[in-house]
Amino acid sequence: MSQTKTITVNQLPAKTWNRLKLNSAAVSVPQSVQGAKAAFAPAGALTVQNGAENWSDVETGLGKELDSYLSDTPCALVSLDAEQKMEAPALLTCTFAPGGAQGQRVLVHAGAGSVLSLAVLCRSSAPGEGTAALQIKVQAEEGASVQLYLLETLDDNVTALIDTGAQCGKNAKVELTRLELGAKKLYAGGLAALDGAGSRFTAHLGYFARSGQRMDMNYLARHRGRQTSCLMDCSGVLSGDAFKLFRGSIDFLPGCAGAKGEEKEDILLLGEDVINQTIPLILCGEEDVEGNHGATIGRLDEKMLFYLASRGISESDARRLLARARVEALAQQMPQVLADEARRFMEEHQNEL
Amino acid sequence: MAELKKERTQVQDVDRSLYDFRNEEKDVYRVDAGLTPDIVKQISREKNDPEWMTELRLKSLEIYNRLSIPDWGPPIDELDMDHIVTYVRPNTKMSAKWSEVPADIKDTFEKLGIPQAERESLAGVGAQYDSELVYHNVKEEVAAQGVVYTDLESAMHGPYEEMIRSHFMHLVPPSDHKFAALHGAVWSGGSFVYVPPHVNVEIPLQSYFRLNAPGAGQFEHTLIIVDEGASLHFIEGCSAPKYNVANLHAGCVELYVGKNAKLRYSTIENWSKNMYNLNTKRAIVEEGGVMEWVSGSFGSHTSYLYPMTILKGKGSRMEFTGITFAGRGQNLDTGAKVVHQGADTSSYINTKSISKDGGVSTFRSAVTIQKNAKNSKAAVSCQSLMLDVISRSDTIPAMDVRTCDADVGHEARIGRISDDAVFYLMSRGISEEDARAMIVSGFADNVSKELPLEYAMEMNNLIRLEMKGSIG
Repeated sequence: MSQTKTITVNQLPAKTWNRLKLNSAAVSVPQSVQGAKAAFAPAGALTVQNGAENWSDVETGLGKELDSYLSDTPCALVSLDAEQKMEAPALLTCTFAPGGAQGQRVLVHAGAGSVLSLAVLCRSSAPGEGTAALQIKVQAEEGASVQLYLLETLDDNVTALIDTGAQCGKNAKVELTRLELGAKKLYAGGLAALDGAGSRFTAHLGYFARSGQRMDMNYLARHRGRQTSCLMDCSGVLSGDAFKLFRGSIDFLPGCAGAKGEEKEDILLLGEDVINQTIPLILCGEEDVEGNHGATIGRLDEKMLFYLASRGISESDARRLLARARVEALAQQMPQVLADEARRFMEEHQNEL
Repeated sequence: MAELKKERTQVQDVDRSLYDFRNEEKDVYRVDAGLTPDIVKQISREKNDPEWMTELRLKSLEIYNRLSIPDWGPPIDELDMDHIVTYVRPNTKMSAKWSEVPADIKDTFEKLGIPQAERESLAGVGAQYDSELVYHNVKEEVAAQGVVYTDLESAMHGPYEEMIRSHFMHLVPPSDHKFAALHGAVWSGGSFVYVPPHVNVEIPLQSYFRLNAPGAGQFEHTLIIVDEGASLHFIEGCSAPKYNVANLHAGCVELYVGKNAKLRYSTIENWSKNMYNLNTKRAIVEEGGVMEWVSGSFGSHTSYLYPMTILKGKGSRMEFTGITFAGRGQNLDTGAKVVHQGADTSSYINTKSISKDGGVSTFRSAVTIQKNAKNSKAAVSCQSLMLDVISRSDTIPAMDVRTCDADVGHEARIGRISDDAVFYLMSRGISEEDARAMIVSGFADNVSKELPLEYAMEMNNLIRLEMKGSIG
């Protein structure tokens, strides 16, 4: 039995009542962490090199303690030169084996005016307990456009820490599309530092949590530059006794005049014993901004159920149909290889709805 | 430019004379500053507490010493309990006649419009000055319905002692947080209201709390029990003159709303800007009962204020309507909490906040829907207005839903006054300052329309006062 330690991740940028247990998450992890198996299928002019660089100033959603935890794990530097444009996404497959802890770091550098697209599949090689940690940091230079797709289908016995962070230069755009389907305990995070004027962060986030799963998420858009914008759109399904905590924050720092931030969350509750926690923050230190947040948490729409019943679809089939439709809506936005994997996963687990 | 400079001066020297006047302390009884078992025992002796209350005070002090200060809200490091006087008794006894209240204290309440309001629009009034009530009266016809409205200390020695003992700090136990424990140790003053079954009190009762003594704390306790099928509107007002030393308000409000009963609790809080307002308010609502909160927070240096409602009974509901206006030097952390325990319960939290002149406003809420609260509905709406670049406004709403048979909605919006709206009003001959004040008053309309007319006017006056000189 390897020795463990506790790291604190997913800290809210502004604390609230401690008794709600929303301010952060404490995760027990093995003290030593090995490298995961990472396979790249590069595309276009994208280059991949091994070797560590100090990107500690690129903040992530899970936070600094994950940086320290992964400091000795393999690190891949993925680069695209200025003005280079990728037509199709490169694919990174991170495979985690059961037993102990495995980690991988990926640094993505998009040169000025480049268009970079990266699809990441995070999966288990075999069933079994273990700790899987993946951290992806993005630096988007002036005018760069980065699309990052991330699908997680880890085994139901795994504790997963899947983390992203992006630093955006002037007029840079980062678009994150993430779908979380697997793992026993998932700690997911994403942070976008909108430092450059006119930079933009878009996140399409989805999850499907089944009985026995626990998902703890922390997303933050930090507006520093003028005329920056963000959209965080999260949609999820909870069934059985699944637990989910979503922290979504828009932070308007002084000086980000003209910034706009919008955050939406739509959660479908299907299980009698689900626990759904949501804490959407808007922090505002600038006058000339617009910030909006909306959340809808609830059950299947009665009218929809009635309509489907009138078409001969039972309530349990209707539940499956509507839950799968939510996952499919996000899968369709992903590259084919990830979309197919997401569909295969849903097919395998359809009886758990 | 000269005009603009003049207006700026007005911002710095806002005239709050309506509230900012003080009386010299004459023949008052004060305990020593600080918080020790001896001081707590001394207060208990002065108040002629029954034994159970003395024990509760000392137990609360132990809890206070054990608990740490919150690490999640506005800073309160400058609040030094060693320099706060927890009990200041004016040299008078409580009376039911204003003519028997000492002239300087009576003048204070006259200036605040309390006797006039009592004559014109209230069913009863309690007036607290520092740590003790100096006036308490209820209209004969209301008393004849069996409504009890008196000071808590008297009630504790009369036929309602058992009722008080079984409710006092049961809803807000001293272990709830550090300042609830402080309240349990040194509470003094406040009101007890009991509305018998099926009695409808048609015009409001009001308690007004005035803190005159510098460096003092006020720890009044309000306990209201509205029995089955009864209804009541209770209004709470508070103010204090401004001093250069910190004052502290750590009151406690416990509200019990019976089956099919209805209680509206309205507050216009206008403490001076050296006040730490660490107040706790909580209601529990039985089957079919209704709790309505109307809350205006304008004063204080620092506020922690989140009225909480426990929807215990099936079909019970609550509505919270609030506005917070944070100006220079203020850090106001306000909001609401609701716990849905019963089935078919519903709640609606609707708040507005305004930040100006470097003021910090935080909206904080928690909506909890427990497993048994099937078919419950909750909605939260918070809107924030930033009036300049040096202010701050945060929204921190939490939701915890533990059943799939619930519908919860949340929306938050933050922004500035629309330039188009100001331009339109100016094109109709309205000055920019008036246009902005008008827009802010409109923004606060959700609260003012829920208040009785006189209080709505007071609130609008406060907004105008705060907005004065906002251009430039």
